[in-house]
Amino acid sequence: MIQNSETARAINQDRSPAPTPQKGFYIRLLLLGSAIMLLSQVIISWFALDRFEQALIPQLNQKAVAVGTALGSQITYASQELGIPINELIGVNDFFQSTLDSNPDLQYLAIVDLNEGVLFQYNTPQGVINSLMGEMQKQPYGSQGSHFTEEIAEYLDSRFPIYVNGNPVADLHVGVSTENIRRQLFTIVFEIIAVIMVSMVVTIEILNLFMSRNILAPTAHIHRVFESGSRGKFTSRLAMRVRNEFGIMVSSLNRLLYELEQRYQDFHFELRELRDAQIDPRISQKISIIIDQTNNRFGFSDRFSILEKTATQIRMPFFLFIFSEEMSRSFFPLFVVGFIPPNPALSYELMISMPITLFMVATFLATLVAGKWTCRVGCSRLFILGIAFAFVGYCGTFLADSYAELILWRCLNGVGYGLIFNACETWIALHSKESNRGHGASAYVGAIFAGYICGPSLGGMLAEYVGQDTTFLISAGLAIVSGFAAYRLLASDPPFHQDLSPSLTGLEPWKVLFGNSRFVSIVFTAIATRTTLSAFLFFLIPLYLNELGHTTIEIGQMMMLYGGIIVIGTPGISRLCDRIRRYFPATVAGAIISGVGLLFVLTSGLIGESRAVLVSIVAVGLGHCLILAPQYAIMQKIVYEHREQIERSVSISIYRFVDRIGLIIGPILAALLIQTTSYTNAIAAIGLIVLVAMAFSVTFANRQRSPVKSAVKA
Amino acid sequence: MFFGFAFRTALVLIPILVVGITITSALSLHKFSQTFSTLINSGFEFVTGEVRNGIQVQLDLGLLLKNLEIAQTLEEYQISDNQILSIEVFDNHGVVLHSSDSSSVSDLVPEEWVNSWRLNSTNSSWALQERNAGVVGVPIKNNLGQDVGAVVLRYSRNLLDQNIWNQTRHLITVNSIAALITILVAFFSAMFILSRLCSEYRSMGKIMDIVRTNKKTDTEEVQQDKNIRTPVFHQFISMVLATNREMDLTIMKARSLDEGKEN
Repeated sequence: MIQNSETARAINQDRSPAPTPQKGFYIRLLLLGSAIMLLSQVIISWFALDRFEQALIPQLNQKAVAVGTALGSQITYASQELGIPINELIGVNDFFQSTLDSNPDLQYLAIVDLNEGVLFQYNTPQGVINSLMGEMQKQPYGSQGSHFTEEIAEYLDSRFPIYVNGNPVADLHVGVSTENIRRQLFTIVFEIIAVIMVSMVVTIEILNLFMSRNILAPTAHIHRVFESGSRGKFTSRLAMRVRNEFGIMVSSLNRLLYELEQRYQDFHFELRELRDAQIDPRISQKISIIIDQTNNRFGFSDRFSILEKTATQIRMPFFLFIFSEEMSRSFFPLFVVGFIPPNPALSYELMISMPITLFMVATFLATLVAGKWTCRVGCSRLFILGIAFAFVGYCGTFLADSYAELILWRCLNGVGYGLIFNACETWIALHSKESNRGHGASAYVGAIFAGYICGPSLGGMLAEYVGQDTTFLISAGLAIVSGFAAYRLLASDPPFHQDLSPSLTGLEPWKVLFGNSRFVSIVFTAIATRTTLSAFLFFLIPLYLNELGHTTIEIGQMMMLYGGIIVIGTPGISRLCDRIRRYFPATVAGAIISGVGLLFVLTSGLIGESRAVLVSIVAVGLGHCLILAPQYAIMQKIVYEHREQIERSVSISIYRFVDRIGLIIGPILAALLIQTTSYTNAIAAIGLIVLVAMAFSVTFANRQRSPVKSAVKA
Repeated sequence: MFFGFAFRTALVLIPILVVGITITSALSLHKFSQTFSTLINSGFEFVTGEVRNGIQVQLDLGLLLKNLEIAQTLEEYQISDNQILSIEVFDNHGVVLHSSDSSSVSDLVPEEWVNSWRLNSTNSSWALQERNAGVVGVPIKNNLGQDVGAVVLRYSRNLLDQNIWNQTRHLITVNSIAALITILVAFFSAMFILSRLCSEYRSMGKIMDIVRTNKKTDTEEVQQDKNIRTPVFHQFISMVLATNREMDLTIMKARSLDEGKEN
């Protein structure tokens, strides 16, 4: 039997996504899922809103009746009891104005007399005044104490006859606009858009997982088997048991390869028999040559190859975890406010920032130990351990009674967060290749920001409807689902060992990495990016927007924009950077955009505070879109370069460790800034910090290039 | 049991669509209930505002809140609208001073009402939802601008609950139909999209079985299948057939050598 294990290994090692025709089906299916989801939600919402409007109009009219009855009796009192003729009443227009001001759902008020026309009115459109006169001519006055409602233009007009001493003297008209109801109901459109976006992201994530597990990965593998076979190397079969068309095709392929191999063995056996039985050495030698030729020409093996894990397989569980964590993002600083004791030990702003900062510190410390643990227990077990911590943290936060308890439970969450992030990064580092590092990074970054889209918006809505504390319980449930997904998708991932024993331990890896100017350069960008994230997005945005009078739903929707931009932009940017191999310029451009975007908040006097914040969020989203995947790819490259000296997981831990500094200092920095200055100035100051960090980053990157240029010249 | 690949994939879309539609429906219903409740409250706010204005006029004349003669007015307001359960006036200790229901005078109002009144003293009104009733309150201020109590109107939730129930029934009916149609469209569209892929897999399997059982199959015969749009598969099959042919030729050559027919 000819064993060509090298070729078999080569088949398995080439894990870059092969462009198969199945990718077209995958894209079509994604588009179908998204389009149907969008269409169904729009149609259902439209039907619901139309029906709601019909049900709400009578209730709006009820209010008009209550107001008309009360005003009518006051006017009757003035005319009948005080003896003032109705056309001589003073200050009626002002009275109408104050009534309308305190009842904004009413549109107009008017008193119309059959002979003299409109006696008093406030806010009545001219078209309606003409119609009121016309109606008066047709139907003079109703009976005493009655009222009559009809539709005039886009208004519902209620008429109340005013009787003085048993004689009708005028009609009081109260107008309401159905536009008010429409406006109130319209606010739900934004919530529905958010739900549609969340549904679409979830649809895409689930289809992504399903298709890549069931179509893309197996067909890419089969494709490689075909390619290898078409070169005469029948070295691998596919171990797969699925009862569908694909499984049946794989069985046919395996049977064909098996029979071909059997035939080849028989053929070889016969050749050897002929050679060994031959007494003429010349002919025997000729047959030997034929045997050698066939050995070189064909390759066979009875090896069954299994589908290997890919970098993108961690995307779904990671997305679900980030989704659960981000649920509280839009309201967490506001949630903390409820736990601050009457006489706090620190300033009010610092007390708000503490649970966020300590969460980051716990994440930071967990990252320190996670590097070694990942080697010992494997990524999947570490992920599930992280989920266990997060689950306990969420349940504890739900039950927390005091500020100290809240901090404790959030720290447990932080530990889970750190472990899971480390498990994911190590998984991607282990399952990515040089050629598709950017693609692997985009799966990781994409999962984070898909979570950023879904979490804050849905969390904001849930906080408004079921309460902020209950939202943590829902997060706990989602964390369990994430753990289950990790168990199913990543299980059987063994503890791993590096092929080469790295020689550096203790502080040596730190010295080596910090001796690399490119590493120092990306550390500056990473810290600035993380500071922006934790100070601006996680801390200042919820507080500032709340101060501007926005609900948690609106805050969540605005924060969702950030994730939306990242999700849409990151894959394209990462592919472009992979193609042109220009990672660093992308990070510089991103830092400039986000820094200037944060400074843009200073224009709030010109364009309005909420709009300025919105522009800043969009700019930060665009900037981070350019930074994140390239920055991650640079880091992976550095880790790869130092793989012989430093374990990959240790390098990742060190990077994560310094990167977390930004997350830790962010909330404290923001709290200190808003203690001394306004929200807008605080945001602008963070923008300046980003620009300064970017300048340092460029300086260090140039230090790395200079020696290279000198060497080239020499 | 055999479930085709297209069927399984199409099946994945169903729970996603159902969850999406359910969340949208729940949100819509919640918004309706919120808007309806706001409208009802707004109507009753006007009524309580009227009562409060009358009280404040008397307070401006120097009368004390507890000495006002307003029980009849409160009763008249209650009788004028059958949704109104009671109208009460309480002081800053939460004691009912006047009520449309005389039996509740001197009782203490629920703590929640007092808290809401205190928290919303700067607002023109506040509203609460109790199990069976909605509550709308407006603060009363004396001529020095001090909070001296509040007028609270309790109304039946029947109308609100009835309307919400009607809308829920309607939404369930309409959305179930819409969901069913959507699911069917999604299901069959997914089946349609994937049917070509499945037929390609079936054809591949069939050709490989033919090649396996009949090793001398002509290459042209297997290349003609229009379902297969994967060029590498054709190359693979060609190589399998070529391998078979080459083995036949080689063994024949070796036999010839062995038999001395060829040198």
